[in-house]
Amino acid sequence: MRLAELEKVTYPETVAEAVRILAEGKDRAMALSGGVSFVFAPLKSVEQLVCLSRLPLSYVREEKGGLRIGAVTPVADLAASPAAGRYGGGILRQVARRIGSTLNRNLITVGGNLVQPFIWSDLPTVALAFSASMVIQGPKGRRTLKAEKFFSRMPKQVLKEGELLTEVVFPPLEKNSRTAFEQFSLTEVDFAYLKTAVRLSRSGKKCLDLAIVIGSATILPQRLEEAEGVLRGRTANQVLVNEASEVAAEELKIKRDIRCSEDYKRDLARAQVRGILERILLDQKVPEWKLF
Amino acid sequence: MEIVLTVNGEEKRIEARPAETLLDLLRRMGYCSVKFGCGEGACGSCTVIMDGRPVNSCLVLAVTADRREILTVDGLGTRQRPHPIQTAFVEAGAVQCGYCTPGMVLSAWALLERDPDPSEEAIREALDGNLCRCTGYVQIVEGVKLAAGRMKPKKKTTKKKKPAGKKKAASGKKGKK
Ligand SMILES: Cc1cc2nc3c(=O)[nH]c(=O)nc-3n(C[C@H](O)[C@H](O)[C@H](O)COP(=O)(O)OP(=O)(O)OC[C@H]3O[C@@H](n4cnc5c(N)ncnc54)[C@H](O)[C@@H]3O)c2cc1C
Ligand code: FES
Ligand code: FES
Repeated sequence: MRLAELEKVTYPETVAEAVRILAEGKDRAMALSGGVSFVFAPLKSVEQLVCLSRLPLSYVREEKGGLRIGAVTPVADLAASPAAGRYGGGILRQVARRIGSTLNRNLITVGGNLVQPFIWSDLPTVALAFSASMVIQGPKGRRTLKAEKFFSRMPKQVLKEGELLTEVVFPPLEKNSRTAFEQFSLTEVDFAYLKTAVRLSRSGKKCLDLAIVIGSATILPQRLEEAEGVLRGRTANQVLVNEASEVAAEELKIKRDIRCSEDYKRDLARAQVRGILERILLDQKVPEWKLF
Repeated sequence: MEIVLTVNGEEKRIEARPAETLLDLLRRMGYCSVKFGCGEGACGSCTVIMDGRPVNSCLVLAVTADRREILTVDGLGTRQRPHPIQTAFVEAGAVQCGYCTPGMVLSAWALLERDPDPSEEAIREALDGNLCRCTGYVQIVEGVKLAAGRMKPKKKTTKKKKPAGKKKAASGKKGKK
């Protein structure tokens, strides 16, 4: 950790103040939310740390426009939130509960998890599957980016100088939508080898729309559009589901992982996508992977 | 950089070094019950309660902990007057080398504050960030159950029927969010 030049730590209480301090500090100032990532990504040498912990951005709210989650919300609060439990069959609570340990979850924040993805990060995968909106406040005002744009590069490169992620909004889901998230790891405390999030809407067995997203194959989550294309607008059956999972496994880009081969990850991808689709699209009683 | 910390109810002004973790600072201040294990958030031996929540003090930069309230196991009980969780741990055989114990006790305390009658699953989840290389966890879980049984607020025996439609009186702690 290189903080030898640190001169000041500030605790702004409004977003406007935080943005002003960050903009004035340019690359000599850095925001810290949960502040946990310094363990994995050494802090650059900055003169000022801007702690976001006192901003009024810790909340999970159900509103007409969707589920709004403040960027400074600890993932422990998301995991315990009744509002999050009612969204998409409780998928966000399920995901948040498996991030790190109970102790880690009290520190890690939703915003920090989204702004700096690591290969094991969980929330970016779900945010992309739900096409969540990222609300960003900067010196030039407010803008909203869809997850597709936000995760098109490392989000820190997408954010401009002085900009803060203030909120993530998960859009309202249609009545006929189904969602699922699965991840695979060898033990409960190990980082997942691979994770898949699927959101789809259907009418009977007809798949009206869907998003298939895989995380932990590369640092940024990947939306598998060719695989989605196999099913979109079609009446699903086992043959199509098998084909979609084959295509998903083929189109997935995979970063080297010392724990297993690329082929193994492709097999995992195929199995996760097929299992989820059989369950939520074909209504088969496929046992869920034991969710470690 | 000077920060103000409240540790076990006592306000302290202290110079924190730029790259120092809260774990290192607390140990430098003499709170040696807070242990260094992995230094990267994986073992829980450095657990402290910060503003009411159990956290890994090795993951907190000391300079960012200004005006925080910290509870270490020293603030829970003493050798002469141990906390019921500490007594229960001893009785259940939940302590061997003792390295993980301060963290375990604090995580258990945070759980029982929030949920005085936890299921075994809730106990295991609350302790999932605290590793023990000696006991095998069975006795630790037993220790928490024993403590919970002893600490449970006594139920009122008066069974007055409330008039229909009236709200239940909020019970202080449980209503906290
Ligand atoms: C032991 C351990 C296990 C973990 N396991 C998992 C896991 O299984 N799955 C998982 O998903 N994560 C896991 N994590 C967490 C993950 O690796 C990151 O460390 C964490 O998400 C960072 O969140 P934070 O709130 O601490 O962010 P910080 O460290 O505060 O910030 C991260 C970066 O984002 C920037 N930033 C933060 N908030 C904002 C904002 N609102 N606007 C603009 N920029 C911002 C900061 O400047 C910084 O550069 C684990 C962490 C630990 C320590
Ligand atoms: S020393 Fe902090 S979790 Fe291991
Ligand atoms: S008693 Fe030795 S590590 Fe737990």
